[in-house]
Amino acid sequence: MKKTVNIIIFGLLLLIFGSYMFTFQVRQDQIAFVDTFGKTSEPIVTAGLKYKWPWPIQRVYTFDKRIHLKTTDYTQITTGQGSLIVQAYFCWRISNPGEFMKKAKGSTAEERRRNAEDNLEREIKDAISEVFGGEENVTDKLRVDDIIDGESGNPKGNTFEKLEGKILDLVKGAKSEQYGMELTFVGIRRVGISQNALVAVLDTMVTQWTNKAFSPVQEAENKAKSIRDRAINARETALKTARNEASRIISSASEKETKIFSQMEKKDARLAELLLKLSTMEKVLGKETTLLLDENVPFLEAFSPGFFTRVPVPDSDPESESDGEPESEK
Amino acid sequence: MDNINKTGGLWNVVISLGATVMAVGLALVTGSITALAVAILMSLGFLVSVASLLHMHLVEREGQEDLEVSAIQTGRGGETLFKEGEVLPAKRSREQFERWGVPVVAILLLGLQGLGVYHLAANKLAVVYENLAAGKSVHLVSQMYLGLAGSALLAVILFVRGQFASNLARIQRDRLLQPASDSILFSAYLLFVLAAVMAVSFREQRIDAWVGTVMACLMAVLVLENLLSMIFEIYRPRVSGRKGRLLYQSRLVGLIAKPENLFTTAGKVLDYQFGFKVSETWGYQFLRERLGVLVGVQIIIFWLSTSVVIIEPSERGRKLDILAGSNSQAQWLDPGIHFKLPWPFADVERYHPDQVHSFYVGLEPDENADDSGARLWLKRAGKDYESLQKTGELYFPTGSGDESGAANLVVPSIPVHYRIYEVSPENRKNLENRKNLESGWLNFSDPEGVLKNLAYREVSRYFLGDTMGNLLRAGREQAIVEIKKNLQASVDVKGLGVEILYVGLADLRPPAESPSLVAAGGPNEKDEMDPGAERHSQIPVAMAFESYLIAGISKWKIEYLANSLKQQIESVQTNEVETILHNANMEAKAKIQMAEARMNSSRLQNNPFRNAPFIYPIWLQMRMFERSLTHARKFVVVVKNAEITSDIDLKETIRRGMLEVEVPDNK
Repeated sequence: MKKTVNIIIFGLLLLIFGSYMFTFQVRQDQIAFVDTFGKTSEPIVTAGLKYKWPWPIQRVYTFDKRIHLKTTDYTQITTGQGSLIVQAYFCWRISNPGEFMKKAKGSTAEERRRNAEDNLEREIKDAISEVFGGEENVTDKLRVDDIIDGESGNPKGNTFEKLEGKILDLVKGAKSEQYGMELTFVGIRRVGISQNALVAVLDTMVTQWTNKAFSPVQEAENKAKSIRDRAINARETALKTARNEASRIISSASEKETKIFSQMEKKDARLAELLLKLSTMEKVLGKETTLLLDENVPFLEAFSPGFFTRVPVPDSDPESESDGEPESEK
Repeated sequence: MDNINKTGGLWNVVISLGATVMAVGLALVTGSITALAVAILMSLGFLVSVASLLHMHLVEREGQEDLEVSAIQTGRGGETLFKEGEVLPAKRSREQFERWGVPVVAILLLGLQGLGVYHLAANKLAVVYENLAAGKSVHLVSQMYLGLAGSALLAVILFVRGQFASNLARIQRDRLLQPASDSILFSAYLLFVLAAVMAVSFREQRIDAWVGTVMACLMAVLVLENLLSMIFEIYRPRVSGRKGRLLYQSRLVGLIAKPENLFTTAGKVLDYQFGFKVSETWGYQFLRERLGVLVGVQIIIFWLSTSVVIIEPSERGRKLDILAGSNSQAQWLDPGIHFKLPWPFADVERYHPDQVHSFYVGLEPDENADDSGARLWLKRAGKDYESLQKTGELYFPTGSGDESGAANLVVPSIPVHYRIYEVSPENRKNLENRKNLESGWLNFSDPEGVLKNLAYREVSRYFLGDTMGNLLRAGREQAIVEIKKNLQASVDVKGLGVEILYVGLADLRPPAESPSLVAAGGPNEKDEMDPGAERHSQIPVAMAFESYLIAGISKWKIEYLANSLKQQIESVQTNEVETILHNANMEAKAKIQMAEARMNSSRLQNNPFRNAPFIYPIWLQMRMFERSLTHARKFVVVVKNAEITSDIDLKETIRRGMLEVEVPDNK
């Protein structure tokens, strides 16, 4: 039993190590080269299990033929007093495997891929410097939004697409193909302010927003004062107009009243006078009145001595004169 | 006296030296952390073998000296010649070596082990794990073929020599040969592990870091063991004739080199604890003899288990079978249980196409930060905030909105959620014209990196076309819509097969730093500011922008109050005007009505007045008196021609109206 298990384990280990030493795998998304004592084979592009002699007779280089991504470091472009940093990315794939294998340096596939990628990155960085470096007056003023704008209506007209297109045009073609690589696309990842210019930009921002903070309050206070003054003036004007109108209305009523009084006077002035006096007296003698009266007041004559001796004798039969009673008594 | 095999010790030194030199060479060629750890441990083994050989030499000299002394003592005058006993130089040399030399070797070993642990942990592993945590691709091992062949060859040589020397030491009971033999056998096992690491590195480079970590931990345990041994040695009771333990011999190394000793030790412990011979039972003997078989069966079962694949409900699997030949196609696996050839003949890659994935553009939130408080603009919080701020990567430029000003800067933390399009058969018909996981996402070696770069591009592009004032206020909603739309368009053009689900601009803020702080290099470098340097504003940008926003609120408040006052004045004005006009109208109306009433009254009374010109006026007068004097206070004075002085108090005792107040009925 022990022997059998040992044999199985040994066999398995032999199988695993043997498979590593004598076989290699090429996946659908891979390209492989077999190097026999320094002589490189034709690229192997068909997927599957392949056989080889173990090292040091043969060595296998396997490359990924999918699209690769590389993000560049920040490239600083300096002109005049200002500077700008640009970070880009690019995607590439192996277009000519033989040329790629020949041009890329390294002892492993990974080292060769890195070497080729680094070569292309250098070309891209040069192109970035060339494309962005032409915008001299812009970096002097630190106006990033002047050099690039998301929309086409900016003063420079440099959209991301245009700048990326210029970089791609500079690198795509001969420069990338010499390494057996195809540059599929280039993108501007970030555009920023360099560390040197950062403090100046922040200073400007503080000044800009502090100034902007001051003016709205001042404007608002002026506007509020204007609103208040206008409202007060409008009120005074309206009241003046209303008072004038009231005077006019009362004057008009007085005129009518005068006309009425005139009619009354024409008709019977004495009666009108009497009624006016009585009315006025009735109003004046209100509730809060204290009167000191003597017997000479007409309706108090009864208190005077000899009043009853002076009672008049009726002249005629009152029954016959009933028509002469005041109308109100009726 | 000890048995001495000096030739064996010499061979151990030579083989250890040669193997150590080759191991150092392998470590340099491959650049492997594991190889470096193995080389350090082997160099320690070499030191042990040298100390062991020296010790053997001294013991052997002592033995020869004993023989010579014995021969002389049997001769004439021998007793007087050595009676003081201090003229035995070889014995004294051995004693001096054991008293001073061995501890010095042990301290040297401790120091080298400590340095090795520090170098591996601080200089090698820390860097690798930092890169792994940052998601960078790591290339840890080079020249794997050379490393594999070299380590395997060395391992076999050392294993053969180590087994031989170890058995020889056990048979001859040579305690001085044992430490170096254990070290050689231990080195052989380490080299087997290194060979395995080299083999696995063809597919998974990170194995080097993981095994390197285990090696560093092992070395740290050796440091601890060495230290404890030295402490115990200080307090060990010295008994004459009883040999002490060799300080340069590691029990741990011995245990790893000869694991069968573990069973012997464990058996003794169990016998003692249980009070009978547990080590002689059938079960214990079976375990002792068949442990290797059991472990082997476990390994086989584990290996066979790699042929079972379980795809979770949210996953999609892609099976790659290396034995399928040139016509093999990657086979997509739906959720469920599947079978494949065991590792390494087939492999399954897992994807999560329908799950919502996310990443951040700009500052990532700090997961360890306390989120309970408000996220204020002036609070500097976020993952790697300080380092991003120092490099300037923290800030995204935007338009300033001011013709004379430079660009503005904002600090965004924008979450982007996306979903890779599904590739299940039922959905394929609907996605004929659209890239998906198979036709889009997998065309890129780093598709998520491409997506992140596109997101950064769209955010940078949009921010440059807008102003900070707008982005932080009214323009946020439009920015979300526009960036999402632009990103989706870019992703579609590049054919990534991704749907952008969400772009969030909630955490967009102005820089929390003041220009002077940035000029000084950060909050910790305040004291180092050059007093002669250019003076910069000490107001944080966020505070300046906040003051602008507060000014906006103040402006609105002032205008609102002014307009409210205006409305109030207008309202009062309307009332006043209406009141004036109403009163005037009423007065006019009353005047006219009064006049007309008088006119009517006069007209009605005209006839009676004419008919009774005497009595009617009197009647009217009396009526008037009657009405008006009913409630008046009246004093009638009718006394005449009398000397009477009357004192009339005209003062009212109570206001007359009070007497007219109606008292409510209690009922």
